[in-house]
Amino acid sequence: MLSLRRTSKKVLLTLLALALVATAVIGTYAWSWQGAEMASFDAKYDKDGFVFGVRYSQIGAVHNKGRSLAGNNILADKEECGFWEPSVREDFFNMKALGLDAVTINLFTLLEGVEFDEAGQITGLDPAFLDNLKVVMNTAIENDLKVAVALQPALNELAYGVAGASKATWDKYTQLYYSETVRAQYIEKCVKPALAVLKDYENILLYIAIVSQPEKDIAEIQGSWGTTWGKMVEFVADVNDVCKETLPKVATTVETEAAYLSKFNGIALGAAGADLYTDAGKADDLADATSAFPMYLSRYGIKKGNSATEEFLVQKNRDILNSAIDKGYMGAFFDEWISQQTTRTVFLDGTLRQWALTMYFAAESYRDTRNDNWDDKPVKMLYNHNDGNVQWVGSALASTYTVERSADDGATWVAITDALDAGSVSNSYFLCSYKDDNREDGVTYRYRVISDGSIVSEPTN
Amino acid sequence: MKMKRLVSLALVCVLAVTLLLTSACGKKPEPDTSKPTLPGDVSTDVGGNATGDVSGDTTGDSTTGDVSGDTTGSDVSGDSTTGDVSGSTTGNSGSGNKITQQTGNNKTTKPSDNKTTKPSDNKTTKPTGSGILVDNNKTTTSRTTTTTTERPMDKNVKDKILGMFTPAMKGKTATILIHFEAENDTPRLQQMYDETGVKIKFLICDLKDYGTRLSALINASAAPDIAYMTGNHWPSLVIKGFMQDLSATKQDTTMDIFDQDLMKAYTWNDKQYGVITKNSTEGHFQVTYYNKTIFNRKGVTDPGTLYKQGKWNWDTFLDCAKQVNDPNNGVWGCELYASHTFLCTSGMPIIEVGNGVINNNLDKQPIIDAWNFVNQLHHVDKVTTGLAGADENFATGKSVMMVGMNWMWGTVEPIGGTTKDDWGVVPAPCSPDITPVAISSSRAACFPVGSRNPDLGLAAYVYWCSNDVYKDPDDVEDQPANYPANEIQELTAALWDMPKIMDVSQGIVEYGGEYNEWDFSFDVFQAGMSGINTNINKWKSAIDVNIKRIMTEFS
Repeated sequence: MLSLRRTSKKVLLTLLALALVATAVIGTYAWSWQGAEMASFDAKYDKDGFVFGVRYSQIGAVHNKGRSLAGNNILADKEECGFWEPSVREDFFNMKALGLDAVTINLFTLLEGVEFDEAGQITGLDPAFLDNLKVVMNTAIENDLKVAVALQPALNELAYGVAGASKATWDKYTQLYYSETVRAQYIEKCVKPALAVLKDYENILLYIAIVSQPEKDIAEIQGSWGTTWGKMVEFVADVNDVCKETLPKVATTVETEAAYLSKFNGIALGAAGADLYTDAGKADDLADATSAFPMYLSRYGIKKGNSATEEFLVQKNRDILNSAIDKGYMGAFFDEWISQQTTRTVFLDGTLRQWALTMYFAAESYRDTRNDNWDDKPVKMLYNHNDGNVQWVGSALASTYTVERSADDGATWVAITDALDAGSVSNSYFLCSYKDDNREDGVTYRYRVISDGSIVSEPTN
Repeated sequence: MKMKRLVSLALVCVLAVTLLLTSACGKKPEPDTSKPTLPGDVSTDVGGNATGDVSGDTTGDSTTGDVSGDTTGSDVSGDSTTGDVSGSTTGNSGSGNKITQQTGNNKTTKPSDNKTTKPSDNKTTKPTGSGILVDNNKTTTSRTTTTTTERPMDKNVKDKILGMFTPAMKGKTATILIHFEAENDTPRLQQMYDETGVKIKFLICDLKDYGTRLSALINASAAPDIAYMTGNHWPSLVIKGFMQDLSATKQDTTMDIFDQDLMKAYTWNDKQYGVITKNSTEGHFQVTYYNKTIFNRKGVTDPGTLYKQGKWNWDTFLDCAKQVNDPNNGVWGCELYASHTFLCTSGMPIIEVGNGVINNNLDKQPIIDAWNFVNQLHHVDKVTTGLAGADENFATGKSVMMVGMNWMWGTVEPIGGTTKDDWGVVPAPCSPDITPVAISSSRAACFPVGSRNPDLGLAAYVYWCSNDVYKDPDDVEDQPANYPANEIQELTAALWDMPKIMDVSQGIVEYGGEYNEWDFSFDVFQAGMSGINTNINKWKSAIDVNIKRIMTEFS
């Protein structure tokens, strides 16, 4: 009798343990299946709130050359790869200084890096593509930036009069949309290798957009060439499956005009990005959204373009940001950051424009408001070219700045100015500049700024 | 029993774990509307390049006490001089006054010439105000000139101003955004601190950057408590959503220490946006300076006399100019510092801001009449120099009269300093068909969006600019002997009391940066009689385009 009781006890305890383990396994699986899409973007949103981002479509590119990570095998004038690592370093450093959380990079835009045969079948991916992708991801880590990846295998710019463009060209090189064979080639030879690289950087990936601006490759919208929505949705679903298989914890999305997002509701995405160009200064109400997923602004900016005054651009973009936060969007990515251009970007005539610093103050004050502690000091140093031109994002509240420099990589610091009146080094929107004319040749200097005699900035690179 | 407990425990654990894990499964999160929003809810536009603005105190003091020194060539009237008089007095006409040492407290900024004001050319402005003080009875008080200034201040006004400060404001600092030089630590501000415990921190930027700086401060959650509004930026800063209306403050802006007449000009869509303090350094008016010595020498009835007789208008102005005009000897009858502002002496503003509309009056008959009159001066009667530097021309005797701005009398040079002749000042002449008006471009204090302490800001601002709160003995010695302190004081009182027209054209003309106010001014008089219509049409179109841009870009 006693042994029977002991046996029963053991059996019960064993069953209990098995039940607990089984529950844990089932629960973990359930969480990983449904929660993983949310883990990256939503986790960031839940933890830190609204995500301030920028699109970086011409990744470190020299203007008018290859826009992305490799040369273009379709368009002759983009054959040369324009990727330039120093530009990435500078841009990411400055993005972080401007308070941005994340940067969106486009892969496969204009099908750069993709290799084709004469029939338009995909034969491979330029190895430089993957090497350059690693450089980008490593630089993002160094600068504590999250990265959103938009696969964007689009030839949509052919619609804008690109040299050599034609329906025949489009039909030949975008079979990945409508041919299962070529789609499989795209997945095997382009997507999977890229995902294999990205897997090593999973912890900084915010999301993967399967397509971005797909409407520009839809025939009924473009009129001249393109595929159908049905084919596009199939394409997205197939690629989405592969992404989730490789990176289950990273959210997948699509990015398009809000009106088209509902077309993708049947796919197991984690979020949806709405592209918004508007002069009205406000984001659409989420209550009216047709997407089934949490939303963010994948691109935003004014519609007016270059005819807008600087003030208009600043005010309306600021209003869009305000509106997106108020309405519950998870984040917003300004379109766009191109160092070499002077229009519709964060630069004007080669200098960070007022909008760039407005984004900074918007992000900083948002975070400080959450923490009930607004102060815009210490200031943020901008990228150091080691040419004596020292720049920083100034403070609206500071009265003085003292510039210090180090010749021993930050071990020791020496003041090279007195306490400068803030107004003497700041422009009208608080971009500050100082020229260090007393430099020794061959010495690498780092700089930092002390506000109001006591608040020390992080140093430059 | 134990077995049952074990089983129950196992079931409870399984259930608990299952519930925990399933609740962590992804579901579409509800939008979190409780997330904090960005401060600074702005919605519209910022003014474009603005040049030519001048700022600063324009005052003169009366003096009391002993008189010493020589008095020559003065035409003084109306005031009695008390106290001992020593030294010789010659060439006196009029009655009563034997003013020897003129004193005053005039520190102003001025444009370097008739063109754009460069901030580097601006003289430092002491924000002491300390202008001409007016007693409520509007009579000139008896005063003698001495080396110290004892200016009567209106105690009632000062009490009202001090009443704007509350105990909670003590120890605080008001921030005021301005586009001219000002010091944070003057004797006037020390007095304010002593009396109220409040300080001012001036945020200073160039005029051309003013809109951008205000925008940047608002976007940085560092909006100043008070920001200026001048004609340069009206109504664009309001349309662009940078300013709050007067409901932003709990201070009583209907008090009689504020000029409600001028404040009406800063109304948009039935809401008022600007506060203008009476008898303050913020009152900018168009006036006529005239050289008394030359008028006397030529035996011509001068503008001061005509004004007192109620006969001062375009016709008598032209008549004076003709009588003193002597171009063969390098002397002209008159100068117009800002021909476009002079158009308002027709009785109609060039640009009229109504409720939600901006009206372009350039093709209205009164403006056309004024335009014709200006060209008549230049091209028919040829009584103007046509040279740049209206104030210097007057100061050096090239012109006998100059229609300029009242703040010019505060500059040590040229009008106050290098002019060796005696001079006087009267309002700008108006059309004989209207009741005379004072043409003003007064600044207003406004409340930026995001202003944290509007009540504190307004109290400090009013104290800073009012001529009824501060005595400033330190600047008396700077004034030259021929400075007509009493006349300026009388005129200032009169100007504040006259019906007024506000010239707000600069901000509209220069919106977007394509046009310049001084180009407009130049075109007013440069056309010649045959070119008037062409220039009117040109500027009417330009202004219409800018009005449309302002109204539509941020609507």
